[in-house]
Amino acid sequence: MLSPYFEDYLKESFNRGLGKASVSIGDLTGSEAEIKFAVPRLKLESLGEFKNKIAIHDKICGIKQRFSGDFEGIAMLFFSPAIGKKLIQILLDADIPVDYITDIESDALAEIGSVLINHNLKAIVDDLGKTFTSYTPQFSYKNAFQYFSPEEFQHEKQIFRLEISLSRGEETELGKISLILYFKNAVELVSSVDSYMNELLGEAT
Amino acid sequence: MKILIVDDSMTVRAQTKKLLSAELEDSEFVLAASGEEAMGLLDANVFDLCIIDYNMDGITGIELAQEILKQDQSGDIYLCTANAQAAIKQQCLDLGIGFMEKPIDIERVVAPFKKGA
Repeated sequence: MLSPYFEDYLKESFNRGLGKASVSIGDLTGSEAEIKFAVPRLKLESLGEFKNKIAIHDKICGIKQRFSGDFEGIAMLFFSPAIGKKLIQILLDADIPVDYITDIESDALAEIGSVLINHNLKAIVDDLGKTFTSYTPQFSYKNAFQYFSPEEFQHEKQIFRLEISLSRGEETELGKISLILYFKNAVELVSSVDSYMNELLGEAT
Repeated sequence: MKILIVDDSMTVRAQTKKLLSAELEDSEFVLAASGEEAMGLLDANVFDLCIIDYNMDGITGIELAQEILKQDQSGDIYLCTANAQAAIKQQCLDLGIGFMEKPIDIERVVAPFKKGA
């Protein structure tokens, strides 16, 4: 269960992170904020629960990026092959289903994922005065269960999941993507945000 | 001076107040969590500066800004959003109010008041 302070802080951080990501992706595609993200829905759930949800797809697109520093963990972005195809179209102007993509398209998708992940992580840590380093993003297209090896993930652990609506331009809705944040020690994040919010709200009243 | 901050996020309300109060000492802050709450404050207050979130449920930021302008409040108005769309910037331009991407640019907001001090 997320405290209202924590949830408000995280939602606002993600909101800002997505706004910045939209501008950066616009720069990558050469058009002003062509891909837009609607105000996200934030959920706290176990990794196992999330895995079962995405297992409805035979295969799903995923971008994985590790991060370390004041907070350590793994960020992952998941979307359907249909959205993957649309993203490739926007990024590279190519009509290629995800099953047939080459390294060029994989790299482009990994780059988009990295932009989204990094802007959101930065938005979370900036106000807290914390820092992080992120590592090379990896794009994969495989079965949901293959993403989460027991060596890397504890399935009963809680994750933060953002459900984000994606649209092109002002109107065309592309679908929903999920950004998950798996913190090695989420308690540190919760306690940092609580301290920050207590101080902030103490001053504001 | 009297400053109105309207945002449905308590984090943003508190952050904005903290940043502004460091720059504009002795200001009086009025915080509202929605457009509706802010509307209820307009009759009894004259604001020198209004910082309004664009994306709010119910009365939106742009509707609130229009109402403030109708009431002939003479202060500066800034509409803020994390989603910097050209259409929103144009709406602000059409209304003759400021547009700002979040997080807000405090220096830009306080500059006119510091000049006049």
